[in-house]
Amino acid sequence: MQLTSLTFLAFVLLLLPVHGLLPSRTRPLLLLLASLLFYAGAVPLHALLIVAMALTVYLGGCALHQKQSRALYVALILLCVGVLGYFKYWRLLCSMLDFTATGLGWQALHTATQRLQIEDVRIPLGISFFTFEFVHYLTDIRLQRLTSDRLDPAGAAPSPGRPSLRGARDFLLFTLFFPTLLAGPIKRFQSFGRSFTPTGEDIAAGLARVLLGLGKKVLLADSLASMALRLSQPDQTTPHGLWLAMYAYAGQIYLDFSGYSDVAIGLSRCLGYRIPENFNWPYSATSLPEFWRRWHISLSSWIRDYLFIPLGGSRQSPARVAINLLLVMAACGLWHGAAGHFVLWGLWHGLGLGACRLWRRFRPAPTAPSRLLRIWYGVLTFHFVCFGWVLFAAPSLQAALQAVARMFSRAH
Amino acid sequence: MRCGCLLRAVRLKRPLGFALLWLLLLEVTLRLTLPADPRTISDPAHPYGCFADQTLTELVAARADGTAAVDVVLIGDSVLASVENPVGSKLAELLQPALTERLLAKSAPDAKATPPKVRVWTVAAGGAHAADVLAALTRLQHSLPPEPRPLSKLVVVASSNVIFFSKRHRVPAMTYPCLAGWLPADPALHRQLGLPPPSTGPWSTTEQFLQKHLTRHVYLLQQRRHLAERWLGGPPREALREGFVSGVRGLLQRLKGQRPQPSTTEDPDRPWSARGYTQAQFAASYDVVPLDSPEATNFQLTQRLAQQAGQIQGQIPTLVLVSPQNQALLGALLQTPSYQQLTSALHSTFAAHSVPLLQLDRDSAFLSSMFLDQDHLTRAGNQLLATRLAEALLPLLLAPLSERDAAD
Repeated sequence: MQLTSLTFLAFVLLLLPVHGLLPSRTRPLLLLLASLLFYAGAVPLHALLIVAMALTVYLGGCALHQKQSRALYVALILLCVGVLGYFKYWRLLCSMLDFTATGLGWQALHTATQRLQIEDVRIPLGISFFTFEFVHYLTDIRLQRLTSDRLDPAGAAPSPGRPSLRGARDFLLFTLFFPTLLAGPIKRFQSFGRSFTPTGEDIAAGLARVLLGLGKKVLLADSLASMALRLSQPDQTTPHGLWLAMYAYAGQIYLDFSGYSDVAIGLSRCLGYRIPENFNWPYSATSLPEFWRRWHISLSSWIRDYLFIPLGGSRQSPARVAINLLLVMAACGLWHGAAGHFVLWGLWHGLGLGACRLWRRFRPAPTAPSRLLRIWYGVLTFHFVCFGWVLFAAPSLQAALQAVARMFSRAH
Repeated sequence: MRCGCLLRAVRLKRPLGFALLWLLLLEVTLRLTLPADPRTISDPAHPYGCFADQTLTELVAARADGTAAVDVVLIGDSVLASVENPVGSKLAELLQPALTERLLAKSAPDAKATPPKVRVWTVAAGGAHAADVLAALTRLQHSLPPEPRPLSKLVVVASSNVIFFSKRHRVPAMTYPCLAGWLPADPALHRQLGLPPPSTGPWSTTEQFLQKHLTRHVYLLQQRRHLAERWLGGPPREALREGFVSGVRGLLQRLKGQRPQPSTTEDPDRPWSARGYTQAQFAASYDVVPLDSPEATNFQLTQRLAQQAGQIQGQIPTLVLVSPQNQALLGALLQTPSYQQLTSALHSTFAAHSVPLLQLDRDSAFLSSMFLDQDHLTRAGNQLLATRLAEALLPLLLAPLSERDAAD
């Protein structure tokens, strides 16, 4: 169900009054049932998968809470990442192995990869988002960031951290919460647990935010999409057309994604949940690190907390930090899609972040840069990001490189 | 003043009620001022239209009114749609008298029988690949109401332009994704065409149900196309895009110190030689994707089109046209082995399904002066194409239904 569909409108219009009429203690159950219906209506089998995974993670989390077992933690993380890998990256992995085997003439490996190749596998909706939420949950329990009171903020469970129906319900709702299921933001369990009873003002403000999001998506992003489409056909487009398409895509992807986030945040507020903000005028950033503090904030903070810092963070040698940034951003690219051009997009940003870090090391930022300088930095940052979008939007690595080459050619 | 205060109070105290009031007012106004829109009702999933659907709606309405007529439906790309030609020079306008004349000539020996009226409908749009033509043909088949009269009075001309078999035009394999619902619900086919997988599951059914019924009864949904046409001159996204592009062009011209150019006053019928085209500009359009390659999507879809046309030949006779190409401009490009392999493959594909094929890509009667570029025709070119089509269509129109059924 798309957030812009009539079915979604009808779903929300039915849910909101019922949610408002119910006593606050039964609202989570209603939302859980609604979320299950929302998910199962698309592909019922996938709903079973996500529920099974969520229950496994919940029970594993309880076990981790009671006994800090490294092996259990690793096993659970591998399970989550393995399911994501099977659905999203298996084909890429097989085709890469096949490519290597064909290139090296290893017939046995070629035959094996042909046999392992799966066709027509449908990726469960939101799997990238809920996998990251599972990893966050398990890691925070392991690092004792999710203490007993946070696992059960209401203090109603007989023994926080032990399996209970109420705990399972709350965790399932955290995983399946329908406004954020399709396109985030990636939630944190600590803040999600603090629900409230929405007032009339909350509902009005939430619906206004939903309308704003729909306007961004339907009126603006979808209008820009037809212009941005040219990036997928670089050989049929003039260099000027490609430049125009690049700017259009920059607008489209921001408006589309932030529109979805607005709908999710607004709807969550109507239902009594505060969801983290995901965008903060990213194209006004004057440096690449600042861009990543403003763009897809829930993802960039997840990557910082669960990838970059565990790899050593900023307290390493400059070379190590640069390598870590490259690795982390390549993983970020791969998270967006199982294709070479997404990895290249991630590496592009990794290189940019590394370069910024080195630049600042040798030439510290002026304490109060002039307005003109800030505009110049802003224009530079925006264009760096835009070239990244060319790599991101192209249908393949070859098309991405062709588009960039053509943008700087004199061909017409 | 008092009314204004009241509205303000309602807006502040009951914002949702205030918004609903406005929506209700708009709904009533639309109901009072605009007629029902059959185009949106028939295809609620695409409220701003999809691939010449207006012509299709008109065709369905015309056939429903019971007038005795022969309907010829042109399904294809910009060559059939004559997008480069002004009114009066379009293929459909020239085909109608050419076909009437031939039908009259055939009916002359039997003075009592008057030939029926000929109507030509253009369900075509620029860039339509084989996938688009296949989907449009299926849509036509399903849009025609079941009628007691035989369908023999409707024939289809489906075009196949050789440029769409090239590497340059390989992507997108389907130019009009709004037609995707008329393709077989095969996930592999959708993936090959770069389309999202076909919608399945309960929500998909619910969405179709809601779209159908709400569009029929709620004018706020039904009248979007009428409003966009009145206020913006067409679908809003296209209007916005065109406005934006022309604004950028104007700005660039001003920055260069040029005055914005008025629309061209040059003769739209001037041939390619007066437009400064060279063979090199079009060479990539004839670099054919190897037909046995998995990337030869347009060829694979052409095979499906041949199969589909063969299956419905008894109900809806279909003639496939391979559009003329400019011999003088393209020269040796049409003599390459890969191109020759393509043309012979097209011939054998349609022959295998008993679908009549009019292959004009190497017809030397289409003089160089009859082309606006590599494949779009001038008025004289359209006149010759109309003559060729009329001659090829005549046997299909005259053959009685039973004879074709027997042939099937």
